[in-house]
Amino acid sequence: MAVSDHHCGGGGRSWRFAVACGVLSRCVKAEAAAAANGRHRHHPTMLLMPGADVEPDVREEAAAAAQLKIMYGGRMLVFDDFFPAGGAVVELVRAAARAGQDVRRAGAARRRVGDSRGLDAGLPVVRKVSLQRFVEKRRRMRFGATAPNLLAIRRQCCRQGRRDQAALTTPRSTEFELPSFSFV
Amino acid sequence: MGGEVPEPRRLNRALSFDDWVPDEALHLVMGHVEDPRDREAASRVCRRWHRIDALTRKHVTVAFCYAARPARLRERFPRLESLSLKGKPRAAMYGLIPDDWGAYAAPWIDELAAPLECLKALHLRRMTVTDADIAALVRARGHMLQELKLDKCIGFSTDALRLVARSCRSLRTLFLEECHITDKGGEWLHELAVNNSVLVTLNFYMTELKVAPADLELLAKNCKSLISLKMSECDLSDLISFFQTANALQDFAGGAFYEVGELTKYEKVKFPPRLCFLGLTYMGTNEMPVIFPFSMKLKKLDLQYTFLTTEDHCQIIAKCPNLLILEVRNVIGDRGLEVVGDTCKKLRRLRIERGDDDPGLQEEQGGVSQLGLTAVAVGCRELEYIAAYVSDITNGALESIGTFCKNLYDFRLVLLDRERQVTDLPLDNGVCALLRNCTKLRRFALYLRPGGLSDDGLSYIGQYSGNIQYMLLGNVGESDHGLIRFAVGCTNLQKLELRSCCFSERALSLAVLQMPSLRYIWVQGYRASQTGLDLLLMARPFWNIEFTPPSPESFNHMTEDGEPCVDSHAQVLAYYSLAGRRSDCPQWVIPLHPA
Repeated sequence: MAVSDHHCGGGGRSWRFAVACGVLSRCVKAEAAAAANGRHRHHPTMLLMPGADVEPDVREEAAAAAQLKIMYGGRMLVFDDFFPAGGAVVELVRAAARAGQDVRRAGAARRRVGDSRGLDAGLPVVRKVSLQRFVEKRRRMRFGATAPNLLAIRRQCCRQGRRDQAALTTPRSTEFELPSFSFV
Repeated sequence: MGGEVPEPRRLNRALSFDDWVPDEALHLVMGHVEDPRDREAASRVCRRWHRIDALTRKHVTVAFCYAARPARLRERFPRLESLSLKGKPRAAMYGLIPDDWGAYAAPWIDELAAPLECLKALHLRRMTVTDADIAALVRARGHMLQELKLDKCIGFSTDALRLVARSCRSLRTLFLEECHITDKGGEWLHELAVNNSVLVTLNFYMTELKVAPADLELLAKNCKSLISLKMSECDLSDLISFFQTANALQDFAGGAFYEVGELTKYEKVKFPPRLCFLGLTYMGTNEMPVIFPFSMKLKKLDLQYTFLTTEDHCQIIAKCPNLLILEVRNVIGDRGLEVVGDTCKKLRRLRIERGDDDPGLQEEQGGVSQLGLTAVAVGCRELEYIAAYVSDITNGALESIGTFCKNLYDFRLVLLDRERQVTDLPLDNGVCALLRNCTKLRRFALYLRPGGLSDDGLSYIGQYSGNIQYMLLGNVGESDHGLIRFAVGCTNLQKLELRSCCFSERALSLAVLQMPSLRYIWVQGYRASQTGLDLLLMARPFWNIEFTPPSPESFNHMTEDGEPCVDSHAQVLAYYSLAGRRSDCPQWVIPLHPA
């Protein structure tokens, strides 16, 4: 069987890789079971082209089989001196790698604008801690409308640690009341 | 083969050559398969593939630190280069989880730091990390560490940072955003500047650490590769020399405007030529012009911590047509979002946080509603992430998002509870349309008010959940029946957070058992049973259930910074774990399990 370099067919989906692995897993198990049953039986090597009268061209086949090219994730991978006479495995591995391309591309697109901070929506009654600190500082800044006071407050906010804020903030319990629950 | 699943006949033929496939070849091919889900599928084919996957795996994320044992991870993936660990429930970001809840980094660092000889990147999120933990990590991996990300972690001080700065000279990324760090002086930054010459990313945003501008300048001088700096507050006028030196800088956040009405001082600030990610603290109307000269180049703008009015937002955003990421408070208003829709055609991520609710603050009167969301949906069709706190919403707006934002993979909507009147409830049809049309959605959050979504709407969410893996739902549904119908449809949901819902313990348990992919659920605000034991209906092998009761003890529990933990409603956390029950529960967390 000649190893041909053919490009990825379009429309492959992410589940195909998983399904292919599942099928392969079942075949491995079936193979193991068969081997257990027939461990004393000799298996002669099967001709690659049974029924054909043509003698295989050893040099050509070896040359073709010695190289493996795989497209995965938008990249061409070339392996030399692998898979002697293992053409069928080449097809299998290529199919498995091909199925992963779409997932790879989708993942790449998503990562392109990935944000290092795990921004996410949350529970509305309570604010994110970082934003809550900002709001509290801002409220203190509002107390002094004139520039010198505002400046002092701003610098003071900078110097204070989080622990000191408790003394200055309004009681949080009034801010963080949950919506009333319908307890039965 | 045209991408079809291989036929068993061909596979049998392939397997007859099994002895001809060298391990080296499979090793090499596996190394190029990068998607975690593909890796997981490949590792289940047979023992040989499992072994080769394990040897070639470079990155692993442990989504919850109590789901697996550190030793098991080490045994399976001995050549890891990068590890991410997540700890406390996400509710910790909102002050709902006390600091001593757990999620200790020590067991992981003790077990993994030395044996994983290839480890060079560590990312911990919402975990408790001590100075001793970091010292152990540095001792074992300091010479190899390239990335250290401590994200919203607590428990360590600048002493640990000094050690990192002195010993980790190959460090390219130091990420400390929103960590609570005990400040024992700014020497750590000076050490970092002196010892490191390859730093690319430095982030201590929202940490309140004090640093000297001269040390930043020295850092910029020694690390020509510095691309990203996000720092705690520092007057912008003190950073003029730093900006002159940091020529490669692209990403900056954290400078602050302390002087009111003195633009002269800030006029001298000249940002580096490649700057395109920006977040400035306390920027007001008078300080806005600072960014006008390069607003065209901005790709990311963080205005969450500014003093801008709605009008100011309109003015700035109109000058930023190339934004990919925008983060604002809801003061931007619908008018500001209309400007976003008209101007920012390339926008990918939009986050609209909840601002101050004090009615006395004039500039916070904006508020976001269906008008703004619709304008953004129509105008910014490349959006992949939307998170919005809104004052009003309609089904039509959600339908517009579904119609125009086909690339959405993360959508989060919170309906603020201060407005008495909402135009169009329930939102069943809008949610249905959004989920049916946004087929790429992976994360979905919907926090409404009672009556915001009926049982039918909840059923739609389940039915059209598609590939969504994470959901947060608040104040949704009308009855237990709605929750069950929701659960029946969620085939791919892995992580679920429920808050302020009316469901019974029994319904929660039945729902958990109904969702085949669910591995983690956090609940607060539910209808407790007389005995509290209906939660045990969800008991099953490898499934941990932890209950935090609503008791006076819980109410009086103090967080590390001395503030009362104000939230006294019961919480339920349940998750799959290969590690068995937690051995480090605090006294106020009660593991539930059958007798």
